Amino acid sequence: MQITTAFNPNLHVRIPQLFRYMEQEYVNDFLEKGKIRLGSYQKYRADDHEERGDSMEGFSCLDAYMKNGFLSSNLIIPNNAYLLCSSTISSKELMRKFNADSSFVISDPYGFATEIAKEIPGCKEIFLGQCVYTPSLQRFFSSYRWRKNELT
Amino acid sequence: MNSHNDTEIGLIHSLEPYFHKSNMEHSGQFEYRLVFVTNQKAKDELNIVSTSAAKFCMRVQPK
Repeated sequence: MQITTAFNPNLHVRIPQLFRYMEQEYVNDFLEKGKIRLGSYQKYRADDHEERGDSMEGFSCLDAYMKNGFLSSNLIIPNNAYLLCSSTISSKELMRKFNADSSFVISDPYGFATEIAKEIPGCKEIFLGQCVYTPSLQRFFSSYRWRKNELT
Repeated sequence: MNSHNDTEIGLIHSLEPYFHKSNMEHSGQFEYRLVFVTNQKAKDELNIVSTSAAKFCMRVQPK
């Protein structure tokens, strides 16, 4: 799908269709009855499943160059958010890794997320984004980096 | 997840969020996340019902 904003010039952003892998029973429950389960950061940190779990889930680092200097800060995302993980690829191998036997495609992630948010008590923000993988242990924190002149 | 409340660097809100992962062995997942931030403490799991969200989805067999 594509989102077009009211900025001038218009900004066109493409959000890819997304694939979600689950057991058939749960795929049926969602597609037929709308039932779906979301997990918190805390839950994924504690999950020891090889593919789903990540003990560093929600830890992040913010690096920013500002007019008066450089800011670097380590952050832990507070436990007030729910995640729904998906993939941009359709793959039998990936389905197997998640111990799933069925999948569905989210053809309009923006519309989907908007509707999901309506059912989450107190939902105030939605973030959609891809995961960026890097091999270095030192870079396990997420970060934004800007060149200094971008903010001066 | 990249999010903060510091107005000094509020520019960050104009950028596309992304989620950093160090476990390179999972890069084949091509993971894309939907994160819903609430104004209250999250339970470990939350079961919801949204037939309208399901209308944006359809079953597929992976290739």
